Amino acid sequence: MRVTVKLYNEMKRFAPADQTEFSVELKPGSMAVSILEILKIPEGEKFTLLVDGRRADAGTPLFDGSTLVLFPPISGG
Amino acid sequence: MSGWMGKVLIVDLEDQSTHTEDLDPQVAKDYIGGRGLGIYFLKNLMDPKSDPFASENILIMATGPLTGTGAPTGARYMVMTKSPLTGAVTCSNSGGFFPTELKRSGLDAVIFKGKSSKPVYLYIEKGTAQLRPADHLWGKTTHETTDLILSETDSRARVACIGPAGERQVLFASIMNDKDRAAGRSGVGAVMGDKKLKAVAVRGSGRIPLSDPEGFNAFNKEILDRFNDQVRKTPLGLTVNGTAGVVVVTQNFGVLPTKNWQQGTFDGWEKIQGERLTRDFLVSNKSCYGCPIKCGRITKVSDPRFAGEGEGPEYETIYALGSNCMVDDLAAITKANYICNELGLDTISMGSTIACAMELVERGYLNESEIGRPLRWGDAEALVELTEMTGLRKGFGNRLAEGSFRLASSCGHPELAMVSKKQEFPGYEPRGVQGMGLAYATSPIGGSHMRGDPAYFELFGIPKPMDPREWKGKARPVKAFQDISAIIDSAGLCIFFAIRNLTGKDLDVLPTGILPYLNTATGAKYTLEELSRAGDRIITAERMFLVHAGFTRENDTLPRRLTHDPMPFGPAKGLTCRLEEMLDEYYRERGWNVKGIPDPEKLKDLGLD
Repeated sequence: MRVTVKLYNEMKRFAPADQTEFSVELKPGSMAVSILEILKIPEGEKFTLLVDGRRADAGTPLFDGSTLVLFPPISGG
Repeated sequence: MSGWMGKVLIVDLEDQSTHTEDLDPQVAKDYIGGRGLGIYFLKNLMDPKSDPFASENILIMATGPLTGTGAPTGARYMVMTKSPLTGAVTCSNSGGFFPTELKRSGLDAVIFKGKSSKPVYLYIEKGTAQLRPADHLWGKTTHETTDLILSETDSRARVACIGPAGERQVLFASIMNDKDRAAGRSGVGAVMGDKKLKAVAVRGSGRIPLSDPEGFNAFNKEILDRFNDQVRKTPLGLTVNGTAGVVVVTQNFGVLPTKNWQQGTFDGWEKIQGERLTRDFLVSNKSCYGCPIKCGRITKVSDPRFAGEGEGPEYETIYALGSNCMVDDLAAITKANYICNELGLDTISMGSTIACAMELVERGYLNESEIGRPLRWGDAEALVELTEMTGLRKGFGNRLAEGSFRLASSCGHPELAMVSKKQEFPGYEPRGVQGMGLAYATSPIGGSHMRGDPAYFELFGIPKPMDPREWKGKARPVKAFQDISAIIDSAGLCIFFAIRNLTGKDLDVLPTGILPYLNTATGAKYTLEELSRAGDRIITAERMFLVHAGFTRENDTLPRRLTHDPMPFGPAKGLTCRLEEMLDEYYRERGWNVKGIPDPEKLKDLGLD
């Protein structure tokens, strides 16, 4: 299955080959943790993870056509 | 008194007299300061039914007991009066340096009564107040006014003033202090203009006494050390990109209001987001007094069409003047922001009113011949031109100056005004952020994110996340966030620091860290329960002002678009805001009846009977 990954702001530093938006082929049944491993995001890094516009975590299941978004902690307004 | 200065200045603009009165220590403890003191004076000194532009309306500028003490972000003051935009109370809050200067002049608050027959400004020097002629300042921008007053008083003074918009009673005119900080919302500047009060200038060099300076400093060091340690590990988004960083969040949750709230995502969002502002326009960060965050943006636009220098834009400005009008030109948004600052306009209501006009034109309810120019979605030049015309009430700007509700009503379509209590919303779409919808509808000032900001737990995950799309269970945390906002606003702190660093880590957001600051500053020996109840008391006192002014549940509303029309596409597709269901639960949590009126036992319990 194919999943789109988008990285914003300081999370862009984990972009493979400077690709801040890319799609990746994963085994069916994969979870968000697969993407975190591909991006080599270290333990303790703080970020917000969304899958298809909903707050998610490493254990959130991914599906064919899912979009995974990562951005750093942001607040304000 | 400590923390508090113990003095309130009363200015009678009718007979041009001034005198000071002592602040009652029990009132200070029960209402804290700032917003709390504001509602205390409003409920005791004026009839809530008064016309906002009548002589009976009073205007209060009030600091908090932590303003100017060195507590992080203790920089703020509150402007409270009866709003000409909403007919309810205002709670317009601002930071910068003016509030600390006011405190150092020996005053907790200034109360303006009556109207002057000719333009005046108030100059306070070390606690001595004098009304001075302001004919030479009338018509000047906020920047010009500030510079002129500094040149004729003391270059170290601090100034809060109105621009041409306030003079002309634009219903969403702001009061600007330190040139570019805004007590922006609900038309506080229009009330000042109606009173012919052009400015308040203060030179204060006194000390703010603390009850237990050693205890205060020790706690302050602990809090700042912890904060600095955290930001060393993960830089604070507010410091890096300012509040403009929030565009990434709202767009990706599908709740960035776009096209006058017809949709929750904007194709041009990457052109107007925080990183772009930092890369293309940021000159330097700017902080308010005693703030370690520095979220303020000093910016410069070189594009010759929109060239200028100033401060901003904030996230709310980017949404209102940007996505909401489908304008993806950040130079134009920033330029319109500069004009708002200089003429003294609220950027949220300005952008939202232009967006409303764009939809009225699109649907054929407003003719472009009435506007005098084409007005289509995304027109950056129209945005800048109409902003200036509004501040001066020139041409069609005279109709925009009445805000979106009155504009849409004049075209026969009030349902196209995206407002609660006639005040325009900030930039979070309640169809996808349900608690925010409840907060808008029940805020005492109408559409607002600052009188309780559920975006913190719904979108930012602070202190812990709750699903923004879910409506069940939202009433209790929304009440908790409203109560803590009343405490933060009254203490003189900023939500950006306090909500992360000075509250409990669950959704009750108790003022656990504000308590030691207040007790070491004031010596008032608050318990956690007393301080929490003060928040509830302030909200309930504001509600009673609204009840006496004629507001009930029928006014705790959202536009039909948000409660009945499903979001058309994006991550929040298919959702509507379930306000009515949340309202019943909310009133129960508050101890208010089904009509939204506080129960007599509740009033007695809070000492408001």
